[in-house]
Amino acid sequence: MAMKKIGAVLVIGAGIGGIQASLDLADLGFKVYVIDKSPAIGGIMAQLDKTFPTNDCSMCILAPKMVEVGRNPNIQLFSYTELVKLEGTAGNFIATIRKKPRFIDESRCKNCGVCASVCPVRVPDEFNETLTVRSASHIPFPQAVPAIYLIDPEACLYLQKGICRLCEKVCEAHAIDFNQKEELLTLNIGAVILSAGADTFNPSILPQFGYQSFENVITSTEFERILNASGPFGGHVVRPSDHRSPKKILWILCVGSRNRKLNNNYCSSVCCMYSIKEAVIAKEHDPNIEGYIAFMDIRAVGKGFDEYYQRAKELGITFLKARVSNLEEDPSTQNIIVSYENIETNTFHTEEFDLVVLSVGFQPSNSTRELCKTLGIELNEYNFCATHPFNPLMTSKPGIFVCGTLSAPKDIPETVAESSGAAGMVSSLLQSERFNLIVKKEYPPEFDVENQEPRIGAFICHCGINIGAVVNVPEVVEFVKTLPNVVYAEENLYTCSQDTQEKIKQIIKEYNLNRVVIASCTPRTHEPLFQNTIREAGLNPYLFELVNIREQCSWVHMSEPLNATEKAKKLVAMTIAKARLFRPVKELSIPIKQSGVVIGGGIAGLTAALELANQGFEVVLIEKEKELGGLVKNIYYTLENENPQEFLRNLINEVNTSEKIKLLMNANIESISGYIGNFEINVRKKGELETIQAGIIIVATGGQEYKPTEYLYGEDERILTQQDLELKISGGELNAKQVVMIQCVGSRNETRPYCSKICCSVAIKNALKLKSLDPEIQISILHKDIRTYGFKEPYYEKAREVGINFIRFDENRPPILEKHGDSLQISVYDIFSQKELSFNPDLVVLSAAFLPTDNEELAQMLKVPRDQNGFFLEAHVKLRPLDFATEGIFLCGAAQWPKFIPETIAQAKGAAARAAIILSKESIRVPGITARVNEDLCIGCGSCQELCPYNAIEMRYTEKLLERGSIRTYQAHVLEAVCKGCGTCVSACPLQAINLPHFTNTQILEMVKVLTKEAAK
Amino acid sequence: MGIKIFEDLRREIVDRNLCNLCGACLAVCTANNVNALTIHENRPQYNETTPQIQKCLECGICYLICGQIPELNEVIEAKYGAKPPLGSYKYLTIARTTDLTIQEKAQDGGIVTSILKYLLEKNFVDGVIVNQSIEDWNSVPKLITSSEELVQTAGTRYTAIPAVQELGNYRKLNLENPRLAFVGTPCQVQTIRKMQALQVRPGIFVKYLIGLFCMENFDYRTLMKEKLQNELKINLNEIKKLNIKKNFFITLKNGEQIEIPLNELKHLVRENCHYCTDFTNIYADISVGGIGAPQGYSTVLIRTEEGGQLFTNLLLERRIEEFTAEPNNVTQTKAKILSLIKKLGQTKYENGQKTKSRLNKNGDDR
Repeated sequence: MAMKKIGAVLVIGAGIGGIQASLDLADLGFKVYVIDKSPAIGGIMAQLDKTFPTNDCSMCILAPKMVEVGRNPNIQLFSYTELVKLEGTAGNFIATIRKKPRFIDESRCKNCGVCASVCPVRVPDEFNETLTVRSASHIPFPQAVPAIYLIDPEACLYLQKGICRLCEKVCEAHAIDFNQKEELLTLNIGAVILSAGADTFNPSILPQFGYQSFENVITSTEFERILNASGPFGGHVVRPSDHRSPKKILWILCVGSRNRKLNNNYCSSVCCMYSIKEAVIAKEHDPNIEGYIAFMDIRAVGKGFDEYYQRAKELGITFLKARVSNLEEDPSTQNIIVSYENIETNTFHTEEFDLVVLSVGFQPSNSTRELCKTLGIELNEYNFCATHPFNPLMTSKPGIFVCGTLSAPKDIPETVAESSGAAGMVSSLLQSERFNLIVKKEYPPEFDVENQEPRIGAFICHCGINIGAVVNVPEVVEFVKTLPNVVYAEENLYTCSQDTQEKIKQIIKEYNLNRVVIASCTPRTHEPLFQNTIREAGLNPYLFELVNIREQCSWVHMSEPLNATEKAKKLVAMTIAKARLFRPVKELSIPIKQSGVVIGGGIAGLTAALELANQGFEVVLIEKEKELGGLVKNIYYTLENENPQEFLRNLINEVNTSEKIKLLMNANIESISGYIGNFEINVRKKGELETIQAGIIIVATGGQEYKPTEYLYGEDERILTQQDLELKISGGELNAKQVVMIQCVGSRNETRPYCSKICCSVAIKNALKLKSLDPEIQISILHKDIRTYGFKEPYYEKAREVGINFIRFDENRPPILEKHGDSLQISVYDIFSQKELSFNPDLVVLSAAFLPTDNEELAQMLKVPRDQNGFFLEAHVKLRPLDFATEGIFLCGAAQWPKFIPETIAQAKGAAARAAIILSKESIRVPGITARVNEDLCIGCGSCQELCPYNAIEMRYTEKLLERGSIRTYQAHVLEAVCKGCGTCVSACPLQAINLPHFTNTQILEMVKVLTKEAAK
Repeated sequence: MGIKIFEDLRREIVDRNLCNLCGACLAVCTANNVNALTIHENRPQYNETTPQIQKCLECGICYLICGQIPELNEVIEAKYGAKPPLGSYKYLTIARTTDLTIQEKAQDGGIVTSILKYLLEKNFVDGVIVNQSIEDWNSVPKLITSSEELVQTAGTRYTAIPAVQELGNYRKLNLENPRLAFVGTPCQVQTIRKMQALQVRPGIFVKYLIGLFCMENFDYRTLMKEKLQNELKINLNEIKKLNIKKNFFITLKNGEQIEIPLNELKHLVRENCHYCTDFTNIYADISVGGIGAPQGYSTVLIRTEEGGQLFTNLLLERRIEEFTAEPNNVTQTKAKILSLIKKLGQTKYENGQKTKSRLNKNGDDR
């Protein structure tokens, strides 16, 4: 008998992958338990300073997601916790987890930090890669989630020596608990997502780099911390030995990667880009820095990467194609003397640098290896979690899915896409249990406060000593009591504590309050808590506002208590003035059409449609061709020697037999209108127009191979593209003895500055195939860099072993192909041998660029942007790789960027999961703070529409009939489902015809009045 | 068993005149941010003027790291191979500064000042703790952050000051992880090593410990004021240099030299010094003293890896130079010094042990 399925999921590892998977799963209607072995979530991404290629602040984009994991009622976070064992089968597992003691009561700790400030111990700080120190009682980093301190038992004087207990004596929240013991807990779950990530390589085992012996040889992660403003040196780029600014910095790439001796034959995929980024950011910090990057190949394969690489060169970063053999330290200057061979000039050098950064790659950690053993999951030859190329998110054990760097080196957006995809696969497996275990909150009816005189209650928080030690809180309370309409004011040691919530509710009732103001910490973490409290007391959540007198007052004015108290009074008075004008704001609910449309019938579209169908939704798949399959129709074998044709046949078969999927072949989209939950797509098929209603749209329009105009293509049948070649090989009609392949035909040039990502691997794939068919064949591949990232790297190595000839040419001196009589002649300048080489091939294969499909019209209909190279542009290149900025529209596959089959499948599953979040609900709640147009004032100028970053404004017209013809009068109309309440339109409207509830012009002016009145005093 | 706290330290050490007056208890005291402890009449004690709430938090750290409390001795002995009489060392050498300004002011070879100058100039440390002269050959410990302030600190004064207390002023540097260097007597260095064994601030911030050879120490009041000024009628302002070699030598600015036999001063030696067994500063990274070295040179013991690296760098940069003479002569001089400091070290060790065992017999309640 099959066990009952459980609508709960265990996510193991809460780096960015686990965070995304947890958030998606909770949104998909599942109870989530997320565990992480660290005391705080965030993984490697939390340690990064900026992210390539946009130079976004890593913590700034990550922190909101961490906070959301911390406060989502359907996500239960167990930090500092490890999996002990897992029993059961897909659909119904029992997991045993071990929670390590923090020695601090999680329910009591208020994150005030007093325990750390009195702790006398200083030990190396792991979060800052031991470049600075922390106390025994500590929080890993200021934005940590959970925002709870912990005591390091190895360092604590009480736990080690039985003395001290200072933290316990000063903690006013009585949160210190030295009696805490390790806890074993069991969880009943239906599926597991493994997102435990990988370590970075530890270079200590490579003696030639002198890491640990030489202070000024550091890892790239250490350099990230050095760059960071909250890092060990406050963001000043200094070197460890003497804390002075380095002038010459060298990055050494591939440390621990592409290394056969270590069995790390793979490429770590991210080091090239993060090193370039680090060099660029370092130069931004200090223009005197000279950055040097010693590389083998620069693998700038992602969106905007090659452009970033070029910009770095323009900024003056020097790229040395070099093999570093040894590092020495000059004992008197602590400078590092680097011996290297410049491969381009064939010369040996020794050069002195002030600082050397080892760009370390990914390495599966021992703990994840143990974890996989515990779970009985297969590993691949490099000890990453083994997956099949056509099922990249599935482990060897049913019910256990994988995402992120646990299965292969990858960057943030790929991890995020996979995480959504894994969440989607769980959703398919546990579809029947959706919404069964999640919390649905019931509230009492709201009081009507509309015609009541404002009765304001104010709660001023000491936050332990965080606010109280600087701001005179009792004085602020007394002051607040004097303000009009304030009927109650009190101080709290911690306003956020559970007992205070009960007290607030009781006081609301007792004093008949209809407005509440709390002065404490940041709304980022605490606003939802207090809103929930007052809602539970029967007040509309918008009859409340939080004043931040901690981050914006006591913390920044620590040395000026008198002024800080005055400022706190002003801040509170301003909000009280606004509070008098608070009005309830109704949250809207918008019905959702619970079916989807997928545009494009390649493997991306097919997979996405099938995923949606598996999750129980009706899907219409629109394909403009007469056949399904897209680009994969032309792929007969993969680098890993899998058969994509068979995979495609199965996929099409599944789609064809699915009752939920309706196919529209030979179909053209004529127009698209509507918004999230309510799209309308007009499709013409054989002259007939069909209108489809859908809640979401997934764009999977794919890409195509460039038809070269270079190298006599089309003029001689011996000149082929890789796609042509593959077709000929599979047809068995090839008989060449000397083959020359030319890389980057149509890519990485002025017209198309981007790298097409796949062509290096495709060339190697075809070269290896030719060689296996005829070992005598001569093959030369002419290239700029070989960009076989990740697990494709070993095939590059294999290609060299079997005698395929790799010739690197200068990007300014591309190979020349000429036809002399009947013979083809290629001449190329080989950088390595520094010789002009000449070939007379009987076959020339062009690795042609990868282009997006013709998508301009579709982009216009969808009102979504494309990037400078014509690929669709996602909402955020790091953290929202599958969403468009316009809600309800998603993208996947080669429409977003060139990619291989496994990446396409992961993205398609991810996009389907993101879409299913919307489709799984009958309606979506829209936060009440959306722009409102005053129709009496709007003149339809359209300024708001132009500026709206979310396409949330539509200009609607009314037709007025006149004697001769008619005129149209336009007015702005806000699509509430789409509006994010940013207020851009409000400030732009020349007639002040738009307002934002809770941030109305009158409310804000009232606040300004208080401020200026005070200032005038 | 309750935690032993400052109250116990007061009873067991301070009240029995065993206090080294190093100031470590004040330096580690968390409550001392609000002056829970103070030094009054050369004794650390509770600050009676501090409000009750801010008093001793009873953490017990001061007790554990006190140089006169044996609890952590084994830990640091094991770590530094601190075998009497000389402790473990890599090598002995004789050296002097090449800096003429330092030479002029220096007690012997100017090694200590040269090291500190190097560390500050190279920015290898953020601050160093030194003895700074004030009027009448009195001095105070001072945390300084620039090499310009160094020269006025050169030279030895034979009076005890709470130098370790000054480490607590690292807070003024406003750094999360300040890097400090410390120069001091064996008792001061030892307590810093104890702090390091517990990984507690401020000792944990000390990256370099330069130890001075020390036979014994005096109180400023009894030695300088009562003996020299009042009894011997020496104008303290006229003193150019003080030196203890075989006897106590006072060089005046007019060139006159006064010699006082050491046993004449014996009764002035601080009580705690009689319990001390360490002459050559066995827990330091580098130990420096004048004993046995040729005029204008210092005897140097290189003890730790860090100390060795530091000393080599100073030699490489020619900030200091080693004693040169006929090779035989150098070897002989070194051998002579070694046997001399061994002898003195052994004497101090044995005397210290004797005093200690006497104390134990007389009823040590520890």
